[in-house]
Amino acid sequence: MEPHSSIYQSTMEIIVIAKQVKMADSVKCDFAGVEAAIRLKRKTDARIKVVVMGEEKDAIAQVRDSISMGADSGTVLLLENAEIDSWICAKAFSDYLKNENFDLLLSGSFPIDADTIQTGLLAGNMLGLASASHIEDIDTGEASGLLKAKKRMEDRVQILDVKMPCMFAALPHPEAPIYKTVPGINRAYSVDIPVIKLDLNDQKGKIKVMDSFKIGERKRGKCLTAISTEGAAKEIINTIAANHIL
Amino acid sequence: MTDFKGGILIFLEERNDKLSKISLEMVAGAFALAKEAGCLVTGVLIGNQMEEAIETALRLPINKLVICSSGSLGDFDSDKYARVMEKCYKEINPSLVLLGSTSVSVGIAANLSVRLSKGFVSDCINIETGDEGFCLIRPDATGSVHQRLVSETGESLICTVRPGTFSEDDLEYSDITPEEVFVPWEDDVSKALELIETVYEKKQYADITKARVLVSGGRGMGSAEAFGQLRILADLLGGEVACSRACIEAGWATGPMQVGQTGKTVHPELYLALGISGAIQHVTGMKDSDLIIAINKNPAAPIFDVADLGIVGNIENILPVLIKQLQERKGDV
Ligand SMILES: Cc1cc2nc3c(=O)[nH]c(=O)nc-3n(C[C@H](O)[C@H](O)[C@H](O)COP(=O)(O)OP(=O)(O)OC[C@H]3O[C@@H](n4cnc5c(N)ncnc54)[C@H](O)[C@@H]3O)c2cc1C
Repeated sequence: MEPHSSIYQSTMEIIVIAKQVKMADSVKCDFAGVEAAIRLKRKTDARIKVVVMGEEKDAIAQVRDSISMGADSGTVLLLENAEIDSWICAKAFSDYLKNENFDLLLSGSFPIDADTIQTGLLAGNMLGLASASHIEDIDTGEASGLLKAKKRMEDRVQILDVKMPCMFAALPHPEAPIYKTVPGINRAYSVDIPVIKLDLNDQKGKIKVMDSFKIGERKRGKCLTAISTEGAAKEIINTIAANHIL
Repeated sequence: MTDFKGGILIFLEERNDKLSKISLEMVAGAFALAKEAGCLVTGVLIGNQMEEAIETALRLPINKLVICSSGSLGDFDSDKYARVMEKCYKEINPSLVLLGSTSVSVGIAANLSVRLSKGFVSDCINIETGDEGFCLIRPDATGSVHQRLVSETGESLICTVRPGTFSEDDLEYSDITPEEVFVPWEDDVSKALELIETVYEKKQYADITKARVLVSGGRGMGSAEAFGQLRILADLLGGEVACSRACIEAGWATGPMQVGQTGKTVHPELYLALGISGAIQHVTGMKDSDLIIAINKNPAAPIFDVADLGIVGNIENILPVLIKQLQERKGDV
């Protein structure tokens, strides 16, 4: 079944998906998607729902943070084993989203930061949505039902007209962070955040980890501490010259 | 289960009628892998007006070149490209599909993965052959550990390869012309995406993976103005300016300049790290540089652990003197 778009008469429905990644002593949250949604909401009438996949406590915290920044509502897809195949994650997102109403699906764009460039794009494609990655900016389109998106590429920028419903993996804008607001924080603690337990036991993944290893180490060279400024500059230039780079 | 017999299918990225650097790197890597595995390599070239790209591709050490040429294709529409790749896949049944880790190819890879219901591994930094077929290596979320991944089901995998993983220098052009296969493009009217405009921003986004010398700044540069000074130093050394993620966050630099786990992997002849602490996520992207020189005021900064020459000192003082001495030296010769 294809997701049905509300082809927004008045209010655009945006869903942001984010998968949390567990690190040694913290959880990596990805806010690029929700930030992109909030930037768009500043330009047009929109409603934002965030769907965070992760362990209960951390995922609820991310939903709360997102609402504090400007999202309207959120849901947690409860994952008991965070070390899960991205195919299974994407499948779980797309199964959940099948029954949702939205015009735009957003995720983040960094591959390792939060794994979402795979998970988001896979989910978008599983839902049969027109999908684009590395989206830097989104605007409402010329006609209703269209969005104008700016795709950042290695050597150029493409401006795209995209028919909704569609999926974008948004680039973060670390230079222009979106802050929490007091009304946002109040809302974040007053709304109900449903937690949906995922049953992924019989899901088969596509990839398995054979083993992991620490990355190779490089030898430490000479380190000069008490050296004059002139001496330091000279040492650098001599080293560069000795290596035939100058 | 060891199975390489389907060989390797590579999506060759074409840009302005040229094969992109990552395409040549992937062919160099695939050639070595195919030799080990005793399998064939097929390249796929999709686009319009690609005379020069085809000419180059016909000299590559690949066994087969699939060409799909049509005026209506555009690399912004990953669905259209993935459909052509799907056709090639079904013809060839490869054991591994390679695409570049680029803004164009990652969308095609995800789309293809769903079309074929095959696993997708993004951002690989190495590929090996093993008992279980092709092993894909990629950093985990922390960046300090690399994982070796294989197919869970024994089926083929689709993988995007990070630029710099293989070296274009290893590429040997071949006298044997690959078999040419033309795939027609049946245009349909699915027009979910349309390109309105392409804006080129050449100057601003020099490719740091190609530079011989990288002058890389970190948060320790202190300000946008000081960071701007790095351009002068880079010009004097014939290089480009790169940075740590902290500088992107500060708004001093733009995304394509970032080195590290979520940025680029670089191995220039000289990497000059100024005011960079040396977080593992940064070091991952630059530790294979030929010569690393670091300036940092903190003697305990981990960047010194990977530097050939470390200077403990204040950049505010050293940078202007270094620039001056280099300018004088240039005047000398
Ligand atoms: C999942 C993940 C992915 C990441 N990916 C990347 C990545 O791809 N690339 C990346 O770079 N980072 C990445 N990071 C961030 C990384 O962990 C560090 O936070 C970042 O690299 C720090 O940047 P920095 O060294 O410029 O800043 P800091 O760590 O703040 O270091 C600044 C340094 O400058 C020195 N300094 C200050 N003033 C002076 C002075 N006047 N003279 C001399 N030295 C001075 C200080 O002693 C210090 O060592 C990632 C983090 C995570 C969690």
